[in-house]
Amino acid sequence: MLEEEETAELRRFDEGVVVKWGELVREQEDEMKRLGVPYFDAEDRESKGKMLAFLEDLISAGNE
Amino acid sequence: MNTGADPSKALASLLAILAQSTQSSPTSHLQPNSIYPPPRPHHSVSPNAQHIEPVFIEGDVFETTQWIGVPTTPWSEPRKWQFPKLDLDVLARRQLPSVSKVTTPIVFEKRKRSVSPPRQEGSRIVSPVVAAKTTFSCYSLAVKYVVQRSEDGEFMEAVTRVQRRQNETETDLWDERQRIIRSFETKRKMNQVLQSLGSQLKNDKVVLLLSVFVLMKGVGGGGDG
Repeated sequence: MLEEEETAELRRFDEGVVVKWGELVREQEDEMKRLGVPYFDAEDRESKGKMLAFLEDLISAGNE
Repeated sequence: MNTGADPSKALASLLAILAQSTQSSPTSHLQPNSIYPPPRPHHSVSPNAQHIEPVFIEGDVFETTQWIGVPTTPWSEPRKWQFPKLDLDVLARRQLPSVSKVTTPIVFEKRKRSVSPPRQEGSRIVSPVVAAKTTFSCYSLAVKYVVQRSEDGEFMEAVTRVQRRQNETETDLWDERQRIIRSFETKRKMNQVLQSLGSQLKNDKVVLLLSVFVLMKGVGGGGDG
């Protein structure tokens, strides 16, 4: 009984996470476009991925 | 990043790397100045929760994150921040009310640390140096451009703000999920205690008892767990 309730509640929570996460991603996309970061207007996903990785390195370096 | 300009910093950095590499600790791969707390052991998760099937489908945005809902990987505490890698098609599908399994709206509880509010259109800080050029003939030119932009404090501040918001969201979601698991663990334990006492109480009464227990603890000011 409790196990079923827990499973159901966690499942609902996870589904809510998906929605929230999607909102976060869209928000990030908008911000990147606003900042003029390359490849966020384009469909070149490989370059976009590389650019994100580069930004991550840039932020990490700035935090050190 | 610019340790090459300062030999002493470069040496210190090298020594730190060497020291790290000689550690045999299983968590030695973690950055010592990591912004996340050390990962909690997986056995802290309820044994029942471990068998819960992930709800995420293949190709979800979560697939590329390190910590959450990957179909083959159970939830784990966020360890190293990275941007979510967006799959627009998947996202577009997510926008549709395809999550028909959800019958009740999810309301996230308020956290101890206030969650940063959603960005508002009116509150945008428009940098005067925002460039319109976002297409480049090759990746190296784009990188060069971003390096130039990174010298602008506002640009880096904005990117760092994006990072911070994601960190907070991930941490909040993780904490919230752990809270759910803990609450059910507590209920189970109470059930066991009551059963061992020969009680005939059912689960709903357990919840009532728990509430009374929590209330009494609150009135008594007990914080000793």
